[in-house]
Amino acid sequence: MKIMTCPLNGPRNISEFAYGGEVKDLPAPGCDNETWVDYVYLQENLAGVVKEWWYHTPTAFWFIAERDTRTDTILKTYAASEVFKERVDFSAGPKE
Amino acid sequence: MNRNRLADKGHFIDRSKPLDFTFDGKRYMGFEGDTITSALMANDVKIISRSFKYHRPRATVSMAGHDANPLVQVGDEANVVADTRQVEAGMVVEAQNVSGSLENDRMQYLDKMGKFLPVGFYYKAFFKPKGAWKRWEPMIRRMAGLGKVDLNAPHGYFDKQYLWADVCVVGGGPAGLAAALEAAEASPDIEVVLVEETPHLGGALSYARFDAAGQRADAERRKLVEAVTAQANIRVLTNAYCNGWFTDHFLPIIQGNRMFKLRAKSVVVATGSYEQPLVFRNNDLPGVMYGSAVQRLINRYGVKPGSRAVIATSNPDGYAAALDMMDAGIEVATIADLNAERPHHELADAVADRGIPVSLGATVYEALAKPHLNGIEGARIAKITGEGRVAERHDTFDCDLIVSSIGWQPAANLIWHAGGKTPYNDATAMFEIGELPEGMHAAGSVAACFLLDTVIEQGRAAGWSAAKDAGFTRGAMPSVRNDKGEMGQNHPWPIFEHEKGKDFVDFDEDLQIHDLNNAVHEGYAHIELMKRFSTCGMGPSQGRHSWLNAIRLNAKANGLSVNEAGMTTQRPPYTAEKIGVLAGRSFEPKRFTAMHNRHVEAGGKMMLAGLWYRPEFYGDASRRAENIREEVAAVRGGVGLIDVSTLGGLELRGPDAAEMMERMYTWAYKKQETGRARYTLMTDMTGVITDDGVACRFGDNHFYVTATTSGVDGVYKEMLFWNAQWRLKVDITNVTGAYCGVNIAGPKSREVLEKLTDEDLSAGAFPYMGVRMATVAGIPCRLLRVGFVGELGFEIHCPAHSGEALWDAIMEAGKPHGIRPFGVECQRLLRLEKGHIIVSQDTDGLTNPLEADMEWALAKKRPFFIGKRSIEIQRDHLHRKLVGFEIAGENPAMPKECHLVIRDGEIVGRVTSCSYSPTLKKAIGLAYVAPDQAEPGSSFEVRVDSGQMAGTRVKIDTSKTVTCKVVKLPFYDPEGARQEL
Amino acid sequence: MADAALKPTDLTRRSNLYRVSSQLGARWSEVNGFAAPMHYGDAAAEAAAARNLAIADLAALPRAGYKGWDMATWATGQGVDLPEPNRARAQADGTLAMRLSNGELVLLSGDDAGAATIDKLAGAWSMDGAVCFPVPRSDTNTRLAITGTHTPQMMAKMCGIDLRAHRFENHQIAQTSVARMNAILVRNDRGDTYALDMVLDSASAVYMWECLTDAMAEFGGRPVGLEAVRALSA
Repeated sequence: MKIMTCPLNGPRNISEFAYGGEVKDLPAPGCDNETWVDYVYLQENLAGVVKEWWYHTPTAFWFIAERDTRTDTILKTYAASEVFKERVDFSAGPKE
Repeated sequence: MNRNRLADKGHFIDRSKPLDFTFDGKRYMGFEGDTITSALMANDVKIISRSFKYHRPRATVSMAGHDANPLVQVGDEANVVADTRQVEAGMVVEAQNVSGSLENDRMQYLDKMGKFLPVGFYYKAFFKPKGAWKRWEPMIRRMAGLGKVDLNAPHGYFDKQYLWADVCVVGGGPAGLAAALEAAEASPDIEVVLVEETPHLGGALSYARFDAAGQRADAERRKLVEAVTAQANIRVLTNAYCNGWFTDHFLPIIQGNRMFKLRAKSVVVATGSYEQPLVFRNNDLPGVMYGSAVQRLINRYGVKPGSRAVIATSNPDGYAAALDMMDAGIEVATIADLNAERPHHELADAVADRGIPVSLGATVYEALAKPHLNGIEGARIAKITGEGRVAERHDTFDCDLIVSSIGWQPAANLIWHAGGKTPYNDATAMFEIGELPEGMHAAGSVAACFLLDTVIEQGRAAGWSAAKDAGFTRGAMPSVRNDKGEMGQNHPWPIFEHEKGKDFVDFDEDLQIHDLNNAVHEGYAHIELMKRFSTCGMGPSQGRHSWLNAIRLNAKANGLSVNEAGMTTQRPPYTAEKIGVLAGRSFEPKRFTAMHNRHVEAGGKMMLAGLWYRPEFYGDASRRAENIREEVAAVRGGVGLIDVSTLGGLELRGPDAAEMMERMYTWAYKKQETGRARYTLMTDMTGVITDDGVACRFGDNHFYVTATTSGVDGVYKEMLFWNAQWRLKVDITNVTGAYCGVNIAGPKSREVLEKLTDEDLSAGAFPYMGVRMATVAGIPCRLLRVGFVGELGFEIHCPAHSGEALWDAIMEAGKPHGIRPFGVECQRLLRLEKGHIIVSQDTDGLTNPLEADMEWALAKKRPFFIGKRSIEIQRDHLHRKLVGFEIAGENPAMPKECHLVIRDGEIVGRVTSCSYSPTLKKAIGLAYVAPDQAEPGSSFEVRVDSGQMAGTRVKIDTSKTVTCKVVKLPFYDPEGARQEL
Repeated sequence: MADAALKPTDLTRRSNLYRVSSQLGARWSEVNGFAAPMHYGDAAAEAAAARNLAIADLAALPRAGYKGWDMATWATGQGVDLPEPNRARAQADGTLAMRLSNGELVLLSGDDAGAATIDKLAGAWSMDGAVCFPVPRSDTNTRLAITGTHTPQMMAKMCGIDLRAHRFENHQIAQTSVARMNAILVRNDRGDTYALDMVLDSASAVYMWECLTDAMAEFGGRPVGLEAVRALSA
């Protein structure tokens, strides 16, 4: 069984984690349909280093992992707060 | 007494502890430490099993279980490896795959039918006419099978345990012992686990011979084992199999009924190698075995497997075996050395000194069988004239034992599991280790090293490297001499086809040379195809003894090199493992509400809801329908109480609590008043309904939201996911387990509850959809005037540890009012009468709120909630709509959940819920129908049980359809007067 | 001291394990509004087991939790001596402050059920301007003690974390899966005896108890009452 290092809890069996999809930006609510459908349904599925959401189930902790999909090597993991530092607002932010 | 027992050999057995066991009904005596095979051979039992296909008599070949020959039945345990399983007092052992008796198998005629049972026989013979296989299969299964499964065998106790180590060394032979020692000496803090599959450490040192005098092995073994035992930081696991390698050095190690799940930082593979058979006519008969098998029998168990032997060899091991045999009093008639040149090593010299005749460039090419194949009576030896060819002239020697030592195959299973490569070296005719995965090291014969001094040095070096990988370094890496032995171990072509066949490559599957060649000629040329068509290597021993020769044959038939022919993928497990070991203690988490025992005491029939146990209904199971109806009547006419503790609960607190609510749920919450509850509907990004519940506002900055029993963990996870990105000032806490909940419902519920609280429960003070913090029966509670069932009712959430006391208090207070506990089934019916959906019962993985007719729950003006955009896009593409329906008539044929709605032969929808409503006295339900069927008053057809499908069109049998009428929801109390009392 | 007349159902708050303890012959005492099993009738055997391998139901002992974006500032301001995430620290009154993450704190009372720190924080917290929020740990969770030298070996049958004494320090926390249920483990030695406290879903207490009872059988483990646990630190 693979080991993943949780930024909060340290190295753990991969069975303690759940995959949460690729890290991607939410399009503005006013985007065109194609952009929206792409966001909802399509994954990049890169052969290379990808950024992914992972969830440590026992602590309900979301974090980000950088993984090389060609070798299934986890290069690093870090808290989501290292990327998402600012409050996101829809009324003030993206246009309708 | 044991006829074949040697007086002065056998250090695995304890002669002071004799024991009795039976084999095929006869009693035998063995010693503690014997395996089943060694004890049987000590008693001169020649045959242990019958072969898989031809029912030929078989006995041990490897004395290590590297073939299916020694598989026996022990009590209710099938396929026990007799070579390695220790015999126990009173053990009942039976032969497998035998019809009649082992010695006189009624199926042995199959051996004469070999030419009618060609390779791929089953694929060819039984597929015509259509259906033929059905008739043949049971017969073939009876004829060609392994042990018997006892369906009444008692459940064994199996379990699993984690283990941790810095270094794991697999294999307790000289290389493994040296590796463990070197690793352990790196630091007192390093933790080393040494895994050995036999009961004793030593590996080849416990049976093989490395010098003419025969002293060296024992001396080295004592020295190494003593040193390992003295090392406090080495944990030795004997009788233990490392059955696979998994990512990040996760190693399942099976010892008895326990599987250790070992996590190591590095691994030393010192698993040795499998001796390989010489392929010649009748090479499968009892009495033909490897040199290592003979040495195991003599040196470990003190068993003499024959009295006069012929040896065929191409390496020093055959000469070593010859010396051991002579020391054990076995006459060695002659040695056929497959090499043309006289070997130069002390073992060969010692053999020559003892006057044993050696024929150079010769091989055994036929074993002469005794009548009924019950052993051998001679060997034919001829000069080798070319690859796989022998001269016509031959010599015949009388013997009861033919011993071969012509080469080895690395037991590199763990290396293969880890993705390591072992290319074939044409010069040594051996698969040798190429690149090893990170943190993995190999030493000893698995690494093609057979010279004892080199093996030990290699072990030391591997142990040092593994310790370094684990973070422990001491001194410089031990050097390894560049000497793997004076001569090659493997003969490149130990395969001698005989015109009369019975030259077995694979004993498990009864495959001969021509079977493999035929497979290639019939077009199954690729190694992977040949394997599957011929089943070579697919038997219990998984190619341990057959694959090397099979690949060579495949390569030759295809005109390729062995590397070009390639190897098939090897996967865990390394050896057969029991399902019980895999299952372990099978943890099945269970959650019980605080009132659980009260339900059981009241006759509740408990059902699983996720991990929770909930009462389905109360009372005798034979009166299921009546009990549910009575519960319905109690709620509609009096008062009922249901445990809703399993409902999910989340707290959203902080200045952005309302903002978070509006992003996660479809409706509006910022304007929701404190002290009020509001329905919640959650959709995912694709607009599909994922959960529902109610939101209770207890303050400007405080929402308490319920979620479905099975949905709450997902809802919580989703909220945390989004807020990890949005960074709103809100804390989200899952308080599902913190609160027990009950719903007291029915026209008399207020009367009952008033007895237990000072809170004003009147409609004016506490209206429908109101929420309060209150004290009930002395317990601080959250009171919610909500109802799923459509009657006056209160949901009461109390601290979980007080749940039973709350239940008791309400039941006591309700006694004069005829309070009755009700279960999940009753609740489902009551909610159906009210037309409320159950998420995942009435919705599926594609249902959006528009289909579910819940437009009313969608916020119009907000720019965003999860799923909003997708719902809007789907607005113009609705293919179905959820409607309520009823069926006229007293006793209509009742559709079931998922029965299809069919129009003009096409499926347009399905029923999601349907029940007979005792309150309304008619059948009611919910169904998806085509959008143009959704208006109240229209009707649709549902096909019920035993309808027929033909092709893509559905044949409508009108006797199998029911007409349903669409009606407006809810069915019951459309004004909601009863719940708002 | 056990109160011979007390029955668990006399009180409103009940451990999910009270029936199990009753069947084992528990003698009860009122602790924090619960009937707590003080012993099971054989003090000597329980004292020995507590050093070898034992489990005890500590549901009655007070506990509390706080969670929020600025828990650390608030709790420190209330005088809590806060450790690093996934570490615990004993407070002056014997309360164990467990920091589950930057923003989450769990407080476990000492075995004497002293709740000074817990009460102080409960009194100080208010919704107005709150930067963290109370988590109902007393009911969401229950608490078991697992004590004795065989604890790590037994736990290795249920849990993938290496809890051996030299790999899992005193007051180290592991939030992990035990017997396929999420649980929080904290090493909380009593005197010189290795001990773990397990904080777990209260609704799974009976399941976990059964798993532990099964796993500890091979080491001669047994259930003990609160008195045996207390005696370890005496």
